[in-house]
Amino acid sequence: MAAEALAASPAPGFFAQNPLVPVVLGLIIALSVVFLALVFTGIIGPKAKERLDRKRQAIRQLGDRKPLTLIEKTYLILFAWIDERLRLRHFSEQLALMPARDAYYTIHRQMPTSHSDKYNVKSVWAWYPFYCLGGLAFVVFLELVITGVVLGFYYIPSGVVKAAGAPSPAYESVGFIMTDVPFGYIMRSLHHWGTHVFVAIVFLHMMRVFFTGSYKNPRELNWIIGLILLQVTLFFGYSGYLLPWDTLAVGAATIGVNMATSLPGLGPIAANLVFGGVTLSPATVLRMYWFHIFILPAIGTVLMIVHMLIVWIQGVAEPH
Amino acid sequence: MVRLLDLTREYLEVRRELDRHYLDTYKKSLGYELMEGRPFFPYEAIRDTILITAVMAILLFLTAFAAPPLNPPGNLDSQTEFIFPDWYLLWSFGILKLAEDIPVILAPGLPPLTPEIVELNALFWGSALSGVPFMVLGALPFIDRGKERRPVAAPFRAAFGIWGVMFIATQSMYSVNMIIDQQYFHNQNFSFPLLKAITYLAPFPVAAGFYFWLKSLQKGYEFKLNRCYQCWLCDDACPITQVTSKPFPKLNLIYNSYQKQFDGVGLWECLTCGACTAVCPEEIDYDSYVLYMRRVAMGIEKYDPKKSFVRPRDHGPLGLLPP
Repeated sequence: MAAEALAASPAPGFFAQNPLVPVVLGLIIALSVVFLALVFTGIIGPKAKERLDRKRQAIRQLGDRKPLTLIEKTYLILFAWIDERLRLRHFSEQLALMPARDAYYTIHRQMPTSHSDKYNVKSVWAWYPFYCLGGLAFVVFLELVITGVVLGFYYIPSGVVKAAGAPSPAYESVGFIMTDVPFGYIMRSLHHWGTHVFVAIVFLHMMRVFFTGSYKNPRELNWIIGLILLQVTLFFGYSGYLLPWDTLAVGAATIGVNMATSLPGLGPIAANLVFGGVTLSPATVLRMYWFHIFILPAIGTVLMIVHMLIVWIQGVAEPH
Repeated sequence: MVRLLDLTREYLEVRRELDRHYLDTYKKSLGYELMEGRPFFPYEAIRDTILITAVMAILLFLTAFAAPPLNPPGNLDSQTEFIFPDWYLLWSFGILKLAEDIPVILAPGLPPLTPEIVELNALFWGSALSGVPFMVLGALPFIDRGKERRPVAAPFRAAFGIWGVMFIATQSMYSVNMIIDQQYFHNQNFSFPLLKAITYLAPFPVAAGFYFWLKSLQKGYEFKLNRCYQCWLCDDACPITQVTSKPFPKLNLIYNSYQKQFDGVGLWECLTCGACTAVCPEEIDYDSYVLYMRRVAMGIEKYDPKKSFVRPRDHGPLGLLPP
């Protein structure tokens, strides 16, 4: 009966063509059921958290005083989560002219007497230089901003060519910078190599944060911001080396536009936004220029300030 | 809105009370005043100055002696040359090449946005998989919620990181497989499967080696020393420091047995009663250490600077039982 029904059925459907898909889907569903069961039974997840969490205690006490609505509770949980990470309550204490001394001498500010000095620990010093990479990236970023401003005086963001194969104004302006502008060669060279150094330092910085587990509570927020900054950095580099509009730029732009349009649905929209069309055109140069000198610097600078502000608020925990 | 502001104020009050209570008990348990730290001076200031100068020197050296490339002008109409991107985007290019092995899947699409049937080809998988590292990294703090931060204390995470870094490196290597093939294999196509095998498999032995290296480091004294809570339970439990009442130096089992010192209690003062060993959370076998050093002092035994006095833990099968 079943065999007849199978034989009578029309052409094999999507799942029959791709037998791996139902297996993978089934695995995902089974794993999520197990995960949810573990959360509900309190083996993992919020229930398993120790009862002495002061954040939860405070919310529970408030709930005992007056029943909280869903919005209020959500707000409180969010506020408490951020407060725990950015020490808002200590700043509020200082603002309210509470005894500032108490707010300052909290356990959050403590550093023990130098561990490595007292016990003569050597391995700490091997890690020590890696704690400077974030600041180093910032210094190189300043260098890139200064040289970029100088290059911006002379660069022409236009890919319009008179005849096929002729150099575009963008290409010619880069050549002009390198040959005719006083110190132009060294400015472009600094900007070019500064990019490589910057990306390398950012990668190393992220590896240091990963290997020392610095992304953990209370620094999750800063890790996420750092990831966005990493993507901004990569896009900075990508849009930057499209600007001369030479063969390398056209080749890289072709790969980028193909990658973007290969994603169904959102891909063509993104390609229109970023490359100025689903195929390459002179408009691509202008788009990349605007991303490179306005949009990415705006996003990057704001996020960088927030990134460093959070570091300043939370304090550093270098080995000592 | 006003209610939420009130709620914030109430929360801060309640939280302040809880904090104060916690802090009072914490301060009492410390027994001494907390001190203000002095951030960044002088160690960090010196270090940063040196490193910034060094990096700027490298940058200026490259600037002066390596010209920034400017290839022939680009032509949108004829795209023939083999192009590969800057080194920091090679990993994405490598994923694009590796994704050619994934079979093409015809999936139903969402008609207003996409065609009825969407072809999920190698380019799609390559582009989509390029986003996976970022998703993994973004979810990381919410997956890995353990307390250990040092790589030595969390060897699995460190090994995973090394695996990731290695995989990114081998992907970048695979992205230039044509050039490697030309340079070292004289255009023999057999090098492609070899390179692919290296790309997938090479990260694993490296990560495993790293894991076991870190595991072996855990047996070292420096690892133990960094685990010292400075709780001074050993000093509190010691009957000798009760009567000698010296404020400093205090008894510290890990420091003493690591550095072969006798802070707090002299070599021949110790009763070897084992009270300190019993309370130490890091299980240092201090009486054995004292007896050993006495035998060394009398010339009965030879001095071995690497001799360990960490009591082997017995936590039963899988380490589930208390000691």
